[in-house]
Amino acid sequence: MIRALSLVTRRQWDRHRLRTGLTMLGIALGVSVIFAVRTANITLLGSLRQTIEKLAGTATLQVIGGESGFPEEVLDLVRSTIGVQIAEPVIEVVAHTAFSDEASLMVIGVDTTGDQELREYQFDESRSEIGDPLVYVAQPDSILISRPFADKHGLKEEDRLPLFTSHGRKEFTIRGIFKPVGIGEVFGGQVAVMDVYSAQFVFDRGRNFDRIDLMTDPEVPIETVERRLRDQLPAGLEVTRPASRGEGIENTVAAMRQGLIITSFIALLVGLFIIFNAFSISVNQRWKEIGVLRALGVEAPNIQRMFLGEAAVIGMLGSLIGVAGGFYIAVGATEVVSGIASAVYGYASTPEPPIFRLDYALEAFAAGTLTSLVAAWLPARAAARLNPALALHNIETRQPEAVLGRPRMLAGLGLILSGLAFIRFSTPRVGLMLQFGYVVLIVLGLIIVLPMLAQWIARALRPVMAWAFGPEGLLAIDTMIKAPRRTSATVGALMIGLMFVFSTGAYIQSYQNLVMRWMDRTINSDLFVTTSEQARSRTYHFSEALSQRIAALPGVKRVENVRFTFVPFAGDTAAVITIEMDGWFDRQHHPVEEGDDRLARELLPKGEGFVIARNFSTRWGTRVGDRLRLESPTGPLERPVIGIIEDYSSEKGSVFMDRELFKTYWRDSAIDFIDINLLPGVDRAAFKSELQRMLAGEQRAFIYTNDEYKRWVMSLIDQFFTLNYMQMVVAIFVAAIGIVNTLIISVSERRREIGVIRAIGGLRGQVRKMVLLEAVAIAIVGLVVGALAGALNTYFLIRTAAVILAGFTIPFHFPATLIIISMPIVVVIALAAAWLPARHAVDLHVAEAIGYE
Amino acid sequence: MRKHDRISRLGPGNPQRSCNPLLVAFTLGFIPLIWSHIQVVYCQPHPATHPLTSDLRPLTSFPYLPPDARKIMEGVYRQDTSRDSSWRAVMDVRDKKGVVRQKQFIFRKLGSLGDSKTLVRFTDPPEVRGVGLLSINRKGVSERQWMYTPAIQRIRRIAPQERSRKFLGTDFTNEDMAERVLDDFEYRLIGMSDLMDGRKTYKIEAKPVASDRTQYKFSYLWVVQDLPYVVHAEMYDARGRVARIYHAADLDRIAGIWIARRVEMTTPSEGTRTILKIDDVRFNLGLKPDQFTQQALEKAE
Repeated sequence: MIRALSLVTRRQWDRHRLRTGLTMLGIALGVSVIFAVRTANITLLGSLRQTIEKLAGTATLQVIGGESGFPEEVLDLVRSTIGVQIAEPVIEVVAHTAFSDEASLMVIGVDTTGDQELREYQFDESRSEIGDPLVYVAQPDSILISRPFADKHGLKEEDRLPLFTSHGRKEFTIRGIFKPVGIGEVFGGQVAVMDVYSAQFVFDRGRNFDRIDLMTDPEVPIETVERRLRDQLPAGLEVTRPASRGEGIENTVAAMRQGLIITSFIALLVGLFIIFNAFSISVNQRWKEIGVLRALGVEAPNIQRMFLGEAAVIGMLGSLIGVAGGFYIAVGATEVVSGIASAVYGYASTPEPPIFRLDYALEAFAAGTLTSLVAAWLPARAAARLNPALALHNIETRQPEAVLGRPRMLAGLGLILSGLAFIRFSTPRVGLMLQFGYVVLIVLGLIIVLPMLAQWIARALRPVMAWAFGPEGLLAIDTMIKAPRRTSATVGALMIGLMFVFSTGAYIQSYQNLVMRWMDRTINSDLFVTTSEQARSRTYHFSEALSQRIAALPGVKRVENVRFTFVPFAGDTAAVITIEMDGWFDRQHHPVEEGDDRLARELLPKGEGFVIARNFSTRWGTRVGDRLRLESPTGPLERPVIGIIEDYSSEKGSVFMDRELFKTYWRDSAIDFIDINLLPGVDRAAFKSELQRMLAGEQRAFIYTNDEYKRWVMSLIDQFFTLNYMQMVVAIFVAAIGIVNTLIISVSERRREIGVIRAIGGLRGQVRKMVLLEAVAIAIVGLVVGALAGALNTYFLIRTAAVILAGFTIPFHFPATLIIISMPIVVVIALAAAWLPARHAVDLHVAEAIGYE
Repeated sequence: MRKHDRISRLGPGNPQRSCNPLLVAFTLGFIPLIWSHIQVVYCQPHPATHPLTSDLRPLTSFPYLPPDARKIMEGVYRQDTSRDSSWRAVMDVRDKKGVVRQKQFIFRKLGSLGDSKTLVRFTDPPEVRGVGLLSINRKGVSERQWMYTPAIQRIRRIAPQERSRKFLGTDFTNEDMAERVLDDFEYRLIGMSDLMDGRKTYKIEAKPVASDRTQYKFSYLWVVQDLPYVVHAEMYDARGRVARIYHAADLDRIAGIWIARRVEMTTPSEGTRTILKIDDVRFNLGLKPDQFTQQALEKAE
């Protein structure tokens, strides 16, 4: 029986190739986005992990601190631990050459007198070791480079390599070239090695190391050595296995990763509507065929199976295409996420081709197939329940399509309201998955009320369409009102797509507005000098000497030195922002939102307290008056929280302290940002030009005026959301496919009507206009419901998601501007999507169309 | 047997000639630890002159009974009587292409084997001038070494390393630099007729008592018969191939102590060679312990 029915299915597909293809494409796009995003994420994490492991060499354990590293005395402590065979210090810096392209180069500072036991360095065949190890160690300008880097820049041994260091441009002498194996594979081979003590000097690390790599005695269990080390090292230091360090990074980029995965399902949800629509229409179109099959004795379950079988095959084929396509999309997506990881989080990764994960492919395939089956379930059930006697009538004799009744409407509204209530009244930390359930309730409710809602909006639109477009407009909107089943699924697809666009856009806009307002209030220096064109560099910093040079320039009133770093905190990390607090308070007008502003101004410059960001307080439940303990490399630092301030510097939450206090405890005098305040009357632009001239070719530094700095921060936020923007485009594209599909079906269903219009004198142009206007009507209805859904989802994003992911409290702004801007764009997309169906309608043969049943 | 380029000035049958453990240590160089190793492995006491080994006399003087290799090595261990010493050295490290990198340094030592402090200060070329290396050697305790680099004014602790790795690009491995324990080896006399630089020598085989004691599977040592001094040695790797060849020449007597003015270490598999030429040797200068501290290491000379 099933085999016989499959022949029916094949005939249907053959007759409706375009529709079948588009349905498949809808699911393929959804699957491809999910697969691409997950693949890109895992590739990035794999690359970060691989970088860590290759850099770790054969180390079995690593001692790490915060980003500032830890004092070198720790090395003796580690070396004296029983069970530690080799312990070698490491410093990592992503530096830049002073060549014209300022190419980045990962510089690894190691103690080569002992490090070769831990890391693989294969030198060129001419050398089995460093050319002259003693000269290499004795001269701080010594550097070893990898063969790919040497080839790229035409360098050979004894050549000079100019690099920007914390002390400005320095010329290094190449004392050896190693092959691209082991450590030479890291960072795409753009890697160099220098003596760790020289690296401390030229990159202004004081007497700190970033980490210690160690090899344990094979006779002693690693766990034992790990425990012994933990027992004797300061609490701010962590003993970890190289493989586990990847998990820490995973945790750091978690917000980005989770956000992307969640949003990637939007495209699949849009695909679900397309399939639902296609199958609903298919059932409608095959009414008579189903009646015949039932009359011939085919049982209802087999009819249902036939439709579900079709859905399964379309879902599987679409998913296969999606997985294949997604893998190629992942190439670009990987670059984007690597860019974000580098720009926002400062993690350098080795460029890697996408990793194909079979489990991800199977999951995406299953998600696509399942979505297809879910979408087809209702239409298949409707087909199975069809009354054969009615079905055998002509298509015009069908009962008019009914929209959902009152109980379902109430159920839908109930779901929406309960979702909103949860968002409004639930506590911030009840569990991630549970909280994401709130938005699911809202979306389900919207889907249930959608047909009714779409009809109401269409009816409201009717007079406008009649007024604006005459009879064609009226016919178009009536067609939509008469066939709610056909159009509401398309409207639903559009709604989900636009909901995603509006809410993401509104969230980004709200966040940007908030950050802008915050910056206007707090970022008030005249000029800013930064170490990187990205958010910050984790490894490259300025020295205090540069700051002093700038401070000595004529026209400078004062400079403040900012160190922005991350420290271990409560099993996670927290941002620490250090600055000369007296100067900072002088420039701020009541920065302390909660707590005693006067007390903060008094105590913080003395190093006798902290102020914390609002999101730090939200994340960790820290209140004013609490004593906050941070584990520094020299021991615990505990101070009272004097106040809470508004700050959006980090999603992890920031702790502000005086620079001198930080320097004492972290033994770190490096600088990430230099804030310059000019004397009254000094021209910012002119001073910037002068500073640029002074630093040109000497120091890698980026100088911004106040306005430029704020724009730069905004552009970084945009970069963070790049992938979301890409997903928005895909969601709209999938929704546009839905419109094409719907209109093709509409034209196909209305062949006879179109034929009659033509027969009674309707012009081709009028038919074309009618089809195009139907698309416009669908788009407008979609826009309205999309705006509603978008507003609800924005509420969720700012009220729940932002708090979960970053602890930020973002004020709600209805995305009115975005919706207004989107209107013409969506209408144009709808018109473009309607172009093909309109041509079909225009090309219909009048006599054949009139005879069509 | 290979003839070396210069015959020792050491005359046969001189009763005063004994191997001072310093001798080979001098010649091997700038790294103080090598000194003790060489004493143990390469030096043989002169039974007639050393008070502690006078009991060997009946053994060695008996014409048909070969001397006990172990006894010879024990005697070597007790050779040093100097309190302190100092000398200058020129070191040529020749790579397989024949390119020579030359360095000069001053070596100072205080104390005796198993309880010594040494300080090496490089004087040339300019890139390494002022680099200092301080070592404190105590029997049974890991050697402690610090290096001072004047360019960054930093002292670093040098960690104990893999024994087979070359030390700072020379042909000496880290193991060659470390103090060795006499009991880690078993000694066997395997020849008494080899000529080395025209001198009759004992050929001694030194085998580790356990494989983890050394990178070498075994070594052959050639000790001049009428002067207990190792003038030649071959060290074999785990596969039984010659890993390194040591040769001492231009023996000279200074303040009653014999030293080799020229020492050569060769790595046949790599075609590389390190040659040390010793000059300005002085003993018992009255050096003070505070000249062998980290503070002293930082002081420019």
